[in-house]
Amino acid sequence: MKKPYKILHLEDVQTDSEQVAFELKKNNIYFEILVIDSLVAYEDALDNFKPAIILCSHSMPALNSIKALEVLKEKKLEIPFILITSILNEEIVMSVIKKGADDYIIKDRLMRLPFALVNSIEKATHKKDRKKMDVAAFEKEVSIKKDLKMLSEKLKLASKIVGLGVWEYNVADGIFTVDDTILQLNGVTRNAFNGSQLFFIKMVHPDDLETFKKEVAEGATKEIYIITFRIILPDKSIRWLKSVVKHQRNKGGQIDRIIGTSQDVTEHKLRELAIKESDEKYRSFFENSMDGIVLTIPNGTVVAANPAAQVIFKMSEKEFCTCTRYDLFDYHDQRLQPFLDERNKNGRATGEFRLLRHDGTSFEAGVSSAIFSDANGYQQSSLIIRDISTRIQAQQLILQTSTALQNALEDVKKILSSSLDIICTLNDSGNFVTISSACKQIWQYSPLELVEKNYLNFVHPDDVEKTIQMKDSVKNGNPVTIFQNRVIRKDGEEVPMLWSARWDQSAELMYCIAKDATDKVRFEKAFEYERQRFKEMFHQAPSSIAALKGKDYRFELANNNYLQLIGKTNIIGKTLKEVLPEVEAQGFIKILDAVFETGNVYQANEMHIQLANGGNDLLSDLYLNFIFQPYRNQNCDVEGIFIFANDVSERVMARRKALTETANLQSILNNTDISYILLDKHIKIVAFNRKANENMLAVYGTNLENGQYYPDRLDNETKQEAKGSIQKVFAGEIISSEVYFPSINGQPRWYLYKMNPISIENNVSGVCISAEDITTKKEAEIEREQITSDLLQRNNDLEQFNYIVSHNLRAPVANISGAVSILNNKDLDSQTKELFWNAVSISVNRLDNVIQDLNTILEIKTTQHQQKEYVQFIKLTQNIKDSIAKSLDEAGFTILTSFDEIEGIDTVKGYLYSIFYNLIINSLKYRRHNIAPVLSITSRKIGNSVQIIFSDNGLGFNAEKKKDQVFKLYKRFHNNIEGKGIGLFIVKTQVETLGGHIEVISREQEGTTFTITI
Amino acid sequence: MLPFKKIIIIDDDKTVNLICSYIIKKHLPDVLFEAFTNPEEALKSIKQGIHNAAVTTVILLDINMPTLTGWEVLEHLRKMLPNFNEHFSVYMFSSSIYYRDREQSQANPLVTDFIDKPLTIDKLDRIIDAENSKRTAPTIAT
Repeated sequence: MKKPYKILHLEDVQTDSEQVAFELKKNNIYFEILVIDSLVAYEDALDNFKPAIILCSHSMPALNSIKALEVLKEKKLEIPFILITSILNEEIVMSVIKKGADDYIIKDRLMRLPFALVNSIEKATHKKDRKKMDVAAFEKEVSIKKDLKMLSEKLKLASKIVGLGVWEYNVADGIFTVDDTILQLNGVTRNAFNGSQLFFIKMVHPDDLETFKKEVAEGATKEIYIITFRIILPDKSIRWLKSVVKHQRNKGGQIDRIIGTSQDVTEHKLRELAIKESDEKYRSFFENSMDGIVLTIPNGTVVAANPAAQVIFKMSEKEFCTCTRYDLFDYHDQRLQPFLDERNKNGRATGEFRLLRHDGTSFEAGVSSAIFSDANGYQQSSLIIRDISTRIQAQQLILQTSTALQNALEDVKKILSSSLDIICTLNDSGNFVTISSACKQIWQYSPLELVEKNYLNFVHPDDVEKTIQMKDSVKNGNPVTIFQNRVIRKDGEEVPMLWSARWDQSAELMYCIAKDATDKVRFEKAFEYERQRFKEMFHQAPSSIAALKGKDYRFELANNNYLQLIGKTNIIGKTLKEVLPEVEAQGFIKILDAVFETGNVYQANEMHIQLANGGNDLLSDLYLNFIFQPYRNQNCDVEGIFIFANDVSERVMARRKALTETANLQSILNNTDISYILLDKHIKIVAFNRKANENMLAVYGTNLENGQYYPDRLDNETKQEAKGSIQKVFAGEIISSEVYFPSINGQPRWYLYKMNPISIENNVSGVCISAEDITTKKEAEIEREQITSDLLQRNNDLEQFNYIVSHNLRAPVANISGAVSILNNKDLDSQTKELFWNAVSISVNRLDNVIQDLNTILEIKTTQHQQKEYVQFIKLTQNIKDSIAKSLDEAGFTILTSFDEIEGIDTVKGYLYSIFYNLIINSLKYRRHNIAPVLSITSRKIGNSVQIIFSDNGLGFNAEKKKDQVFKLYKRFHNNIEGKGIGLFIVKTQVETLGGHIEVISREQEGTTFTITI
Repeated sequence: MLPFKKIIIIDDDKTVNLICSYIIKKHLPDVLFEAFTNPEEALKSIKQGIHNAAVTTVILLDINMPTLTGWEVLEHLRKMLPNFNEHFSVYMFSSSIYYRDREQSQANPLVTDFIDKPLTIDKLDRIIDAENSKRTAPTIAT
């Protein structure tokens, strides 16, 4: 919080001091004030109260401002001092100011005081601060100088310790001075040094001389520069020196002195070179290695990856930097963990496991890893990676190939052994080299018995010659395809053989195939083969197959599919009734009977069957495609039935489900109150629901039909609009609009129409038009709007009423007040007095009238439920005519009535009387004097309401301008005719209280018509 | 020396005009005074008198009148005399305590001030003060 200003006020007049305090408070100045008027108190206050400012009255009995200022000076206090004087005497002011006052204020211009006070205090504060600052600055300088001296001594010591030599070159006299360290660094004695800088420049290593000169020349423009170079010492050894050179310039900006330090940096330089060399070696290895190298730090972040690693992982260097080694390892690979364990244990490890590429693919890699510390002592680990997936692939390929070869070999063997024909090879001399096992069947010799035997031994003696001839021909390169001879079987029988043969020169082998020309063997083999094939087919067929034998349908065969289908095992030999007792009741035995008896094939698709195939008695529903195919014995009698069955349950179920869903949807659509019509892209009707058709019938009297061009179903006007909307929907828009139908089945209805595009793969392929009956909602909305607008109107009326009433109450009151203030003058003559008493009297009457009017209006407004009775218009009019007959006669006023259409209504009689009365009086009052005044009153029936029309030929008014004013309270349009401007207001209020409304049309000098609708 | 020579009052209430007439004649006997109960007549008179209107005229204008409201009279004046501000100074004069009337008066550049009824000597002095400052201080705003 801000501290209060401490104010010492020297003042003997209490009111003056209070005024000062008040002025300060008024300006929100936060202060603490002490008021005194004696010298003793003053001195005491200076010591103990310690004011921030002194306000001083010029003269007091015990003290004056000059004295006060003197005391201040004696005490060497610098407190702002403001003189407050009652009169402006320049002489006094000048003398006080000279004595040291900061400002002065005239007592009756105290408003300047707050500003002057704050200003003086701030000025004084600044002064004090500045003084404080000066002292502080001086002390600081002294301390800095002391520090500097100490520092320079320390520096000298330090430079000696680190071997830092200092030299100086005075440009003006060309003297070059050096310290002992410099001489030591250069390996010379002081005696040898000649005082010229050239002495040292000569020592610079010839290889560095050029760079040295260049850098010195460049350095001349700078204030300070560093140069590193080699020198050759007198003992021919080479040292590295680093010099820091600083220029001192005179006021003209020219260099007058150059001072510098030199240091032997040989050790450092040599180390640097060694590191650089090793780094380069490492770099070159890293960059050019065929293996991928990735360096990581302990948290796993990758710090470097060489180009080979980038290729292996298919990652850029940048991508490497954003990933960790965890992104590279495939942690699902079980070989990884042992590898990591080993590396953590021994600091290095090698292994083979899967790594992940950036694109998520993986590859086999040979990885060796080591943990090491880098030059800065940070721990890093290296991963050296070789993509071995190609190698492994090749290994696998070899494996595959050899397996394939093995398989092929097996196949060949199989072919050889299963072949019906003898396949054999003979060498040059005619001995069997290999021979297939078919020889056993055909010749009764096993292959072992034949190998290495000469084939001629087995040939029928009569055929040996032609066989030899043939063999020679084949060996000469003429392959033979059919050559017949006879071979002697082991049991001595002769077997006719058909040969085909060819000679392979490279293998020096003859390949031969020999067929048993008797064919018997062949048939046997063929039968076996067929049987095998059937068996395979039977077991591997995708269908369920079973064979039932005999009239009691015993299972003779059943494939796996069939067993799976019926959920049973061990059925062979059992009857169908035993295995599937549940099928008899389903009529399957009868079907089988029919097939058995007639021999006709039975075929059924998607047949429903219930089987207890779940291992218990529960039946499950299945749908099967069946074929019952009879099979016959040699006598052509039906011996059994083949069952072929395909389980199509899934398909049937799926279809049924889809059908049910469609049916459900259809039922929803047909039971909803929203109508839907779907159109295809040619705007033809594709589908519609019941409600849509009902609506169409109600609006246009026609039925909807699929395939119709939708706009043709509408009337011409709607057609164009609908076409436009549909075009928009095809462009992807969703259209929603509320449409009003004046009469649907005799009722006005509101519909919410929506048109939505039907999209298939982003193409609009049709339109869905929906229409919802929102009449109830819409009516409620309209009603709500009506209520809101009524309320607004009421509120406006009320405000207007308030305004008028307050104005009209205030007007007579203002007059009374004005007149009474005049009447208060004592020197009024009696005539004037009377005049104003009269004015008071008129105003009082007016006030009374207004209050009475107010009462009347409020009575109407507050009376809600009046007794209603039947009122005849003609009687009502007559009553009024009678009551004002005299006035009507005098004006020659005619009232014409026509109440034929409706003669009267149930209403509050008093109100209707008042309405008629006021409107008749209104016509009478505002008649035109130059023509015969006529008012006609007519009643009409409009729907459920009644209209009463009052039409006159009177003065009229400008309805365009005044229409909204005419029914307002105390509104009058005519100056020359007596009126209060309350009649029509009452009429309107009463009409509205009766639940009706009133309208007016009028033309000036033509007449006015009021229409009341109740 | 008064800053205006004439006061016109337009008010349909005769009592108001009577009170004003008395107060003005008594306190400013040198000022010409004219009262109208019919605004149309007042407009006619002002239009006729404009040719010799070298004098400055103060108009006290009632707001609620049957044939023309005060605002309509003002509009007629503006149309009739394009620079009527040079010779006329209009004060809206009403018994209304409705805040909008006061606001509207302050917003309308043709209106100098709003005076509520009844007219008193103090209010007359206020008009004189306002007219004086208008004559001496150059207008800054338009």
